[in-house]
Amino acid sequence: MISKYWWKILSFVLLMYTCTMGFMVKIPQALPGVPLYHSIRNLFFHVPMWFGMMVLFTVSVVNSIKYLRNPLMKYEYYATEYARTGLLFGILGLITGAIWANFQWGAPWSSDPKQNGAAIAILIYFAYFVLKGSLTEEEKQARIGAVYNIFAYCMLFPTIWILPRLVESLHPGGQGGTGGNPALNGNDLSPEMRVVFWPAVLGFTLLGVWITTLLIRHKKLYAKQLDNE
Amino acid sequence: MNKIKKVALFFGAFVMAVFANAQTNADAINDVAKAERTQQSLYIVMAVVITIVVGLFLYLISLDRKISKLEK
Repeated sequence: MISKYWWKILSFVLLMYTCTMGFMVKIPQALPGVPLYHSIRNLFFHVPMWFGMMVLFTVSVVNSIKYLRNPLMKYEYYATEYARTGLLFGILGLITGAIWANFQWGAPWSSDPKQNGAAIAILIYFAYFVLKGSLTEEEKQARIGAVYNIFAYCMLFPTIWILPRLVESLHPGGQGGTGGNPALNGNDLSPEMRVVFWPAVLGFTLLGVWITTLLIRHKKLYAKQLDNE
Repeated sequence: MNKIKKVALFFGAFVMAVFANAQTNADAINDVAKAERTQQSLYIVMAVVITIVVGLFLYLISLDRKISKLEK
């Protein structure tokens, strides 16, 4: 599937659909709780970043496990590059979240548990690249990197999914009287919005996969060139 | 005298009513224009976002082609 190109076209079509319908779709008016107005349309752009990040990190950790079972360099390349694109998506998610929060919650960073958790998760993945960069031997880099990647993936779930839900949070799904920001707790999404949201998730994820395959192909070419020299 | 007063009052009220009516009409037109402008501003953002996404895709396609060429 990866070497074919139909999914690249699919990604383009889905993102075009998102970028037009995301602005044209009717949004629910007069929601209870915090009024989001048109900023609820960020749902089609901010949230897919995190969904895409989760998918990319999952592919990365699967390849790390594959590498530990069968040390082929291609698995190492896959793991590294998927983690890299996942990290990019995570950073974009943090930035877009800060822009949205600045409008909605009055400050770009209100130390919301989910914001903090996401930042910690991102830092853990930064450490993955620091760790790999600090090792010179390629095989050591791959093996220790793969082990660390599994740890990082295991930390991802408590920091962004579990811990923010155990305390009060401005994000949807937290504890407390309102259950976080009620506007986005799933029940308040109109069916029209769902029809835009899921294609957006798929489109952005495929875009991430495309970028990653380019990085992997580039890395393989680079490795080949080094071998020839 | 009393009759004149009554007639004057009647016309006064009538004129005021017309003015008041005109006022609300103008306001309504203003509101419609405002709503339209709000809606249009959304489409401007849409145009900007589409331009950026299309540009990024074109860049990705060109990178993809370059790498494909190198692979051959």
